[in-house]
Amino acid sequence: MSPPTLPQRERLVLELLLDGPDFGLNLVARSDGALKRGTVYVTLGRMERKGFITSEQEPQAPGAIGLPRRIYRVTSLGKRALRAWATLARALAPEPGT
Amino acid sequence: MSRPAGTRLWRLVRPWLPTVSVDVLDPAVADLQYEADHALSAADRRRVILRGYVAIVRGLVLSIEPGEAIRTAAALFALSGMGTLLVTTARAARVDGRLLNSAILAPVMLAPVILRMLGTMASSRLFVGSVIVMLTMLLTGGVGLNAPGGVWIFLRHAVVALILFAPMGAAAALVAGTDQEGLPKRVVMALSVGSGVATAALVLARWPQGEPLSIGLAMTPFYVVLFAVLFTLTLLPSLLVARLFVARPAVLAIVGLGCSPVTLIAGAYLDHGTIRACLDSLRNTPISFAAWSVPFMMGAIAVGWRLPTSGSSHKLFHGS
Repeated sequence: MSPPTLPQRERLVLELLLDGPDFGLNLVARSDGALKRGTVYVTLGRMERKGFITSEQEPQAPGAIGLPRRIYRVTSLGKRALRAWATLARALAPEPGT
Repeated sequence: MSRPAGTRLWRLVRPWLPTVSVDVLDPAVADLQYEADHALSAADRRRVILRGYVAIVRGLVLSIEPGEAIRTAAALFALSGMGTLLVTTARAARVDGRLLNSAILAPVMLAPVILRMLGTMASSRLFVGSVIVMLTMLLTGGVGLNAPGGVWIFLRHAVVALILFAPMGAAAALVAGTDQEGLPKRVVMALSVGSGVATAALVLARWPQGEPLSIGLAMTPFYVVLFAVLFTLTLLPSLLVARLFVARPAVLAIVGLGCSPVTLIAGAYLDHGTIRACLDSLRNTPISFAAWSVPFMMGAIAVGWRLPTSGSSHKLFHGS
């Protein structure tokens, strides 16, 4: 099995979710255009399969019609992946004077 | 209260999607509905819905895994090509009608099995695969509808062929699919097992009579479908009624055995054409007729044995 990767868009989702659980649409709004409505759910689904985030349906009020919204939260694996990425990025950053 | 935005699209598309795409569709539609409900004006609501639909379509397209789509398309292409080649060859060789029908039926019934092996799980999608193979065979002339007569004659024959063969594809899709175990699936399973047992018995019984085993095996799809139709028409109603009162498989198997003469008479009628010819056959060759009845009896026993419990049968009659 190949190790999980962490593309830029997934890093952004993890960073946004570190502030607290959120809906896909809100993540798009908070990303300042970096996330798009057409791709955010694909990204979220992929990250959930990797184990970086988890999701659950929002509880609905009695009598509510329509589909329950899905709320996403970061997992401990996701937090560790983000920390590891930050460490790697620091380690690979060009040293002053090189 | 009006229907929430995107509900129609969600209902229409969701049953046909793989899990990966459902994980995209559900939250996207839910968020669309939330956003549309909180729109400030009717114009804003329309804009939100339009933008949401575009995003959903884009998300669904992006969620399709190319590997799976290509594998499925290649399998359907190969099956359609094999079916067309098989039927064209069979027609050119002027083979027995049972062989020709088997050549048409085999790809239609094989399609759900092959797609299931490639990872497609839902019966509805397996059935669509089967119909695609059938349509491709019709359009490429594989089923022999390319004779002169105009477009309307072709279309009429194509529709009739679809009506005749689609139930076989549906049954194969139900058997191969991994949908939740329900009464329709169990009934189809019982009929499939019964027809399989009857066909195996028939092929083996005809082997010593001089018919090559390979020919018998090649006719398997035709016989399986023939037995399934006969069992459905003559045996299934009685067994379902009996199932309301008795739940033990052994008792139902005995009921099936008791009803098997009706299936046998129907089969003999199909084989001989008239009741008189059936009776003549029974009088002139009683031993052969008795041997011929064995597959019907074995198949009927198997159908009875495999039928669902009386509780499930009760649900069938009450549509729940």
